Amino acid sequence: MRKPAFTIGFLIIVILALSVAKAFVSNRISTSGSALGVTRDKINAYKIENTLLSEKLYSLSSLTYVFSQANGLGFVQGKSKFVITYPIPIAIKQ
Amino acid sequence: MTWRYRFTFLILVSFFILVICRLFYWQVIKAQELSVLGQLQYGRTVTVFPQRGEIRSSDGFPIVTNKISYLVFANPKEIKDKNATINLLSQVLSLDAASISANLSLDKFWVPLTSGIDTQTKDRLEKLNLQGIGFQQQYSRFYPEASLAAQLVGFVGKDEAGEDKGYFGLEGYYNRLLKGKTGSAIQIHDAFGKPILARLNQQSGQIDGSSLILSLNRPIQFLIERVLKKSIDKYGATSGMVGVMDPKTGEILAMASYPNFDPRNYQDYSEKFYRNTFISDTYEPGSTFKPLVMSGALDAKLVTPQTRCTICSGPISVSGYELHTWDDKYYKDTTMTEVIQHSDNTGMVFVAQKLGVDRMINYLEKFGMGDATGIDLQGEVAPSLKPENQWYAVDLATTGFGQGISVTPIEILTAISAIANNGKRMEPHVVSAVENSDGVIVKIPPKVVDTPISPEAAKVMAEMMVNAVNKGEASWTKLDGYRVAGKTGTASIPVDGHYDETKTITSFVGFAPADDPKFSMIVILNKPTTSIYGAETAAPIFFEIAKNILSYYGIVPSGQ
Repeated sequence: MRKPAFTIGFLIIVILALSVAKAFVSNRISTSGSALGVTRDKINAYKIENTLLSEKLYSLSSLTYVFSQANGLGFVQGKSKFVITYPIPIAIKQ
Repeated sequence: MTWRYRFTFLILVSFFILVICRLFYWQVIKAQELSVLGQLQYGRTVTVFPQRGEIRSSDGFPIVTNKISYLVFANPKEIKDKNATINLLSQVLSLDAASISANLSLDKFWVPLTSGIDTQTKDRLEKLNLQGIGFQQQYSRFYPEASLAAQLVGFVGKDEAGEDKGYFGLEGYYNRLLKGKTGSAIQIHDAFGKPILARLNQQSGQIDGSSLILSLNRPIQFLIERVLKKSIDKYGATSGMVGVMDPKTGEILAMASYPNFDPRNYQDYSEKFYRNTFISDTYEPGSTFKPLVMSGALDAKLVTPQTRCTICSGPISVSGYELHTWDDKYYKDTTMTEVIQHSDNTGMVFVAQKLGVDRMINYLEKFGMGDATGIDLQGEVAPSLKPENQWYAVDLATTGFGQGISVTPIEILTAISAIANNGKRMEPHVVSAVENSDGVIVKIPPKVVDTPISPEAAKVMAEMMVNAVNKGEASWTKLDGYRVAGKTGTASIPVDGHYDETKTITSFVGFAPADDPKFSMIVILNKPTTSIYGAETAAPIFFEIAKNILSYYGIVPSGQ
């Protein structure tokens, strides 16, 4: 009869200990939403910043923008283009 | 004692069975319902919207992507000084004060005021600390290259339920892939009511849209749009189109129509500008059709380049109609090579009559006429061919030189590309790969649709087209040092049953380098006023673009 009493006692202690631990942990994390909220806000802010920078990058690297900037700086398309189609002979045999 | 014992035991067993049944009911049958009820006590359902997929050009640059924007909403019951709020909102949002006032006088807790405002405007509004005004983050389409390839891409509008929906072009054709899947999730709150991160993404079922990777070459697209716009002004045309294709794969490298629209402000444009005329407008192709008919006759071995036309010494009379050449010049006993070179209508009547109606229809169908090409864009039309029993002698004759038949520009480009590709007709397509939200890329392989002519006939036809470029009417504008195969086209516009000779659709179709084509291209101008001929309007545009593309690909001149 001694052995079951010991086991039952041990189990009760374990249950009580776990209940106390659960109450303690629950109490600790119950308000962690604030901290998580702050972290999430930070992540969102970085995401937004990242997206805005991507937008800027795409706009600045677009051909439309590069072309308009090049025009503004005075780069214009060459009007004439010379293409050598055949090698010029050094000497022609008579 | 025995019966009492048994009776008690039975009662207890029955009781336990009842308890077990009840537990089964709550824990198995009603489990899901109770779980949702439980979750609702500490959280609320939120809709998780997917991000629409990007559309990228072949170099990976997003020509359509998403940007953060905001929806501005109001809670009219929280706003105390409505007049001041209306004035400030009207100034910052550039909205009509009357419409804001109408919204704020509604007996509701949540009223949307405007959507799609940028971050700067939102920041300005936030600094005003207006009571009862809030923001909801959303994504809207962003076009880094502005209106580049607008008609090819389409635009995103709203459907009947107020949700984003793609219209026209790729946005319309691939709407289901691009839009992704909306999900919903329970947002759990802590003791203070603050939301706790609750593995929303894994639980919501939300899937971001897939991205499209196009075969579209951004520099070539930019080039053709610039040249086309400039040329429409130069030649006094009402509109124009250019399409560039890789004939070996069917990939569209560039496609432009002008006038076009700005997808950022699509609502400011008439609906007619949304259509991609390259796939949805039909026209009579005129002489650009001649290589198709001629190559059919070459393939059927009915003619050779040296075959002489026996009926080309003057106008030809067919079923009471007199058929002329475009310049009323006639070449007796002209060869087939010269027929293409001079764009000789009578010579093509000779070829068409050799082919006959059966073979003509057969070759046209094999070249894809009368059927949709299958290009992956919304809005393609396919004018059908007349049934065989409705072909009269004059129809056969005029079809030989591209009149009396309706086609779309994409049909002609695809058919001419078959000549460039050793007789194999490829299915044209704009999307070369699809990347899903997990980054997995699925490539779309090129597809051979048909083989209308033999490789030998294709080679011979290509040589005849090279000869036409070097010695034909457009030879003044040809590229020195490059072998370009091409054909001019001038088609009168049918008006009320007759042709208006002063209004034409001019075109030039071809490919280069002729021996190992890197691209095929068609240029079409609608009603040019400086000249009514393709050789003087569309051809110079073709060669200006071709020169730049050859230079871009680093292809060096190799002689005539």
